Amino acid sequence: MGGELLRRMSGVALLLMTAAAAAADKLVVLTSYPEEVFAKFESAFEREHPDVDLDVVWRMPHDAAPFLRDAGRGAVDVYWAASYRTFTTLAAEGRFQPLVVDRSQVPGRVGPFRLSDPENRFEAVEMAGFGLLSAPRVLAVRGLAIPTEWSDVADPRYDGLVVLPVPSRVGFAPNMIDTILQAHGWHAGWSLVSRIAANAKLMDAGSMFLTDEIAAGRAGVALTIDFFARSAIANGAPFAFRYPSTGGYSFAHVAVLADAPHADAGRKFAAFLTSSAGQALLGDRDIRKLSIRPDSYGADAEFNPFADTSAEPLRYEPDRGIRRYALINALFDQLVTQRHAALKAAWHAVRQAEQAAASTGDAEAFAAAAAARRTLERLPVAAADADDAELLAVFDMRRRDATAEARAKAIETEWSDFFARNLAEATRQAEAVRVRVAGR
Amino acid sequence: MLLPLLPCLLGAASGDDGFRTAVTSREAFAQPASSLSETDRPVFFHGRNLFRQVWIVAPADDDTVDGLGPVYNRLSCIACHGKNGRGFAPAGPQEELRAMLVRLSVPGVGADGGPLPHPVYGDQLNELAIPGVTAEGRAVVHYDDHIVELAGGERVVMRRPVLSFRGLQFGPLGGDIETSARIGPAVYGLGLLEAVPDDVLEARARSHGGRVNRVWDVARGASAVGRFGVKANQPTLRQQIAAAFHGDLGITSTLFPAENCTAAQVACRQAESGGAPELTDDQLDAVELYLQLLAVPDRRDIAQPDVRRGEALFASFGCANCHVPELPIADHPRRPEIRTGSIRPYTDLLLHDLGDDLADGRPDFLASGREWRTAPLWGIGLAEQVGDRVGYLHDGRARTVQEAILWHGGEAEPARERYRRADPHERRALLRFLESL
Repeated sequence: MGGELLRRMSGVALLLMTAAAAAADKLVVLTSYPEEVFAKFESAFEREHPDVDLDVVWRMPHDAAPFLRDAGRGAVDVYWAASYRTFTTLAAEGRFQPLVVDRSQVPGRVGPFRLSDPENRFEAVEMAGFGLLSAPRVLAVRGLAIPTEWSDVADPRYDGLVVLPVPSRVGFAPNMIDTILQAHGWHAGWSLVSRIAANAKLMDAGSMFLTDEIAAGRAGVALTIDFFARSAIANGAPFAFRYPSTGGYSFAHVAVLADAPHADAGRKFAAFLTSSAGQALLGDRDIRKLSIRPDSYGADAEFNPFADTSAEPLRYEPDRGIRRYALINALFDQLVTQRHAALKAAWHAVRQAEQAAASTGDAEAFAAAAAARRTLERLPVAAADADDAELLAVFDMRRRDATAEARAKAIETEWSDFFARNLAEATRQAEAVRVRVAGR
Repeated sequence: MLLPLLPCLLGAASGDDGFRTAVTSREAFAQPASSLSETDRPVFFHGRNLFRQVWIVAPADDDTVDGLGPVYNRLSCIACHGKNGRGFAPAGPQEELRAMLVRLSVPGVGADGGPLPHPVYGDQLNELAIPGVTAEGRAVVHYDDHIVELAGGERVVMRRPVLSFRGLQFGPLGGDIETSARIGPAVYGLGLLEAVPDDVLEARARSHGGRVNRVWDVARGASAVGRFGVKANQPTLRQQIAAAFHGDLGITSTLFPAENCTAAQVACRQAESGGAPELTDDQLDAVELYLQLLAVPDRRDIAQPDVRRGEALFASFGCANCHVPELPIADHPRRPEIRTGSIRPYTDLLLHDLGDDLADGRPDFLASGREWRTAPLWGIGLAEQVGDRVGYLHDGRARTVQEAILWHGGEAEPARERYRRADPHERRALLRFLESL
């Protein structure tokens, strides 16, 4: 290095030698976590294991399995994501190697529900619960309390204040909708979803976040997954979040690939994620996920799912959810997404009819209003059929099989006709009640 | 539904009216201008999502966001601009560069009049690569500490970065290499800076000193006034964004259509592309609009006596000679939300000699190795509130605003010395003023 260069380099001294602190091992992690999440784990892991260079490769959950079967084969060490379905699929294909987990610290369960693979091919690393995000200031304008149960936001007083994500378009929503269905039962659950939708603005996979709508004062409450809400609150947003008593969880997992080129480093990473140090990162204000280690929760924990399950057992079965999520998405779209305005109008008419009937004490009007509600709550799929393997396979396979897609579309057309007919009928029944009461 | 429509009904305000936010939470740098129209709102949030998007190796099912690399530094914009704020330097050699990169060049002038890229490594060390492609190597930052003593006896530990490299995959960089480490800057208020007329900058340079950088405008194919980047080496926000996508993420655009691989990087050149270009014009439009319409934090505590005293000292010490409190702006040609008026960015957008201690020895168009563009100071008082970790100055060496002040040299040496010799109460007042920005 000449004198002239040294003079010019006086601000940032430069050493051209290769640094001694070269990392000895490499690790490639495939994930779908956002930057705010994986960067903090990456940084903390490399602090704990300075001998490992961690590279992150990113893929959405639906694109992860094809990548690991093809371009990423033999190049990726670890898969780390919130996609139970993808983990079960890849485990069944034999793409993971078993993990050694200390079950005394990492139980792999919450109450009666299994979080981790019974064969230890993939391990739970965090949980997230579903619930209600509220803007107390917006609700206060209407004199409404912070809602705590799903049924609270089905109340007509919340009309126009609710944001409801569309499950076929928003990643966490299928699980959340099925949480309601499993907790309340097939018919009562859909009725509840339908009534909530009647109060709601629908949110698809567009650019706005649920929290944007709430922050802008354009809505007062959103059905959401906890970390969006809890992170926003931790970052200073004037929101509240409540876990309903009939809640459910979404889980994330880690697995080391069977053909991992750096399997030892991969196992170190998996062990780090479930360690106390790794789990502590979940409390970061930009992450706010729930730990899978009971010992992570102090007595002052804002929410402890392990304590919660003893008081109010969870009713959600994730394996059942995976089997029927495509069916539920399709049914939701036919009931809600495709005819949202008509659904709102029908519920508005039925609610008015019920109020009118109640105000008169007319038993026949009351019965007619109840009949209108029953019409509106009719479903084209019986509870037993919702777990029918043949029907579920049609919707599950539709993206991969043209015959299944054709059959699914035909069924959807039947559902569409069914709902259109019943919404119109319910509206007519409700209008008849209103006319009857007005004519008294 | 009246409230969201108010800005439309009222029309855009002038200057930075409608561009200030009272939000002081960690989301203070992520607020839309209140003058954002309902028409632009979806585009703004689309741009926000692209700015936060983690880009994907091509080919991918999500083909609108694939094309990462083949060589790159981080996977998303937000990685180096956390919460839209500033990045940080590594704590030492044991830590990777997470919100920082290293520019490279060799002596000479490039085809566009800017730095001459290294023939093998290009104009930036890309530390990461997609599977199957060789990354270029890693930069390592050591620090040499020294102490500066202030009036009253306070001693400040200053850390001077010393850059080295490991794992260089295409051979040594060579003895004539020029390097410049850069942390990500904050990204709010950029639409307003774009609206400062060129002739205002040129007149300011003539009357108060400082230099206008003249750089290459890729879209126009002509020389232009530079105003973005720590050396004012980009003429427009759009080009700044496209250059960062290209250099930092390896994402091509119509402004930078060729993949970021040099002739020696064979696997890089053969890697699959995510499209031609990978960032569409619509996507670039959305990111540009997002960054143009991010609001600037409103000042706080301006009536506090120590803040007012600090503001007076900021002027009397000479800081305001370059960190100019107020600049005029003209109607923005493409953003009706930005109208003629004035803004308070605390910058003149001009190049100034900041002395040997800060010099990187890497000329950039007209900017010498000792010259840097005056950094805007608006919002700086919330930097540490917003970011988990933040650094100051171009390479993040300063861990506090006070350290940043004490690194100033060259034209800023008199101001720095007035600060260093000021009594502790005055120094505290000046820092309180900066906290109020």
